[in-house]
Amino acid sequence: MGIQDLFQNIIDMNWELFPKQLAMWVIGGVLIFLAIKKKMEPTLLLPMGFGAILMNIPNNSGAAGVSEILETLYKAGIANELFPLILFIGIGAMIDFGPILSNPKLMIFGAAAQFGIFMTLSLASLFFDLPEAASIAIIGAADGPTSIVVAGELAPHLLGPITVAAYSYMALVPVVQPPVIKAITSKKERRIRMEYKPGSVSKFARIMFPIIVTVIVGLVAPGAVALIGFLMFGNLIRECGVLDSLSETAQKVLANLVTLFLGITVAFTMKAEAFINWGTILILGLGLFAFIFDTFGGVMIAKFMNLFLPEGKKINPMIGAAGISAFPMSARIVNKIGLEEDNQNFLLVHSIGANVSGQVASVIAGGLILSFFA
Amino acid sequence: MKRFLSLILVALTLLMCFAFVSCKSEDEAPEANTELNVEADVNTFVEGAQNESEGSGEIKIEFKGWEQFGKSFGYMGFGMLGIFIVTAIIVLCITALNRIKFIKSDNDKK
Repeated sequence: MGIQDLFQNIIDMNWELFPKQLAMWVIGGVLIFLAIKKKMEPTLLLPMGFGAILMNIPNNSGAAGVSEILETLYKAGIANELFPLILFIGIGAMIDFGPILSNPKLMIFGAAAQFGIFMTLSLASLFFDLPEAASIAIIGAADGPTSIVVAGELAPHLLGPITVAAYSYMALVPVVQPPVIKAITSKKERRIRMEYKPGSVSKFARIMFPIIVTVIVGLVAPGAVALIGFLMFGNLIRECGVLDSLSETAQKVLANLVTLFLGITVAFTMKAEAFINWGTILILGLGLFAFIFDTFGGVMIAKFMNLFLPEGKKINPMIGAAGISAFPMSARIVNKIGLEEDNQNFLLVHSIGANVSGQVASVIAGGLILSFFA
Repeated sequence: MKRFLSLILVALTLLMCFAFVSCKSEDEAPEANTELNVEADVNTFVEGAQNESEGSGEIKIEFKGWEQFGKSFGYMGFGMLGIFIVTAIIVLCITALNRIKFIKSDNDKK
């Protein structure tokens, strides 16, 4: 045994691949920086960033190598979509659907704000097969678990860049949405005030809503049953009123535990040779396109509705932009822009409703995509 | 409520027209080579990702042709139509639920 045995790993490295692995270390570092310093989706970006570094340390495979361990976790929770679906139970338990139950027409904005998904599907179909294009397009759902489930089913080899894009753009919504909103609305439209009539929602409605939504969505898009079912199961636990401890467990312990595993396991797909290429750059670009056209779709439907509404009853088009599923950031951004234009125009009560509806609509979109291509 | 339902009907009609115009052919089953992607085996992915020397995990980009691009608009039309139909049904159900006061919430109690 000689001194060189201590550095055998460095001697045996694939030096052609090392620059790409180094680039992945930088990318991992950037994700960690964004998570800690900028507080951008830290629950996912930090584990993904660290996992990207782990997976790209040369010659890391072996009997108990990190590749094998992450592969075990990947097969246990990502390849079979278990982790994102369980996470959806926690997310469902966190969501209060009261705003859309008291004002159901806000759901139309959630539906319209999924426009970016299908626009991106068309654009991506120029360069990728349709299932791959659909997986990339689902970035526009602005929903991590939905993106992971759809990409895992249709194009698992693209899971890494798709997940990075989805979570990064969700965190970048405060940067992406305002310029788009201001570009397609006039100052007069942004200053529209909307009347708020608070309505009570019965407990019966709160309990029946998750059941009815699951059945309706499941009948139309069977591919969405798992997604919508787990989301609404979590919500039913919350709303039934007799499972407070389970609801609290789902919201906190379960969601945190699964998120912990999900983030680092997704990094299994971030090997340098698969991640560092023009395809990843293209996917990131298409993801941005999806978010831009989600915003566009939501605003446009509001402007379309305003053509038929009388003065005094018009909708502030920015509410449509809140239909994207990035909750609650998108709602807060719309409220903030509204206050910038008119410091007495509080849009949060309306934008929260649209934002919540986006959660449901994004799952419906994911289910339809699975129904079309799986 | 009537006006809102009218709006939904107009939007659905427009989307339906768009979908029918966009669809150039009936829905087809995925092509054989795309099924490989759809049913991508985890082991295949793992082997590809671990094949460092050949770099076979790299994402391949190539121009797929205008026919596929045109087909995608059909999926766009049906996709948006599907979302709006489901949303409309859910909205109608929520409206019906709100008219039923079976269990009073705490806010309803005096």
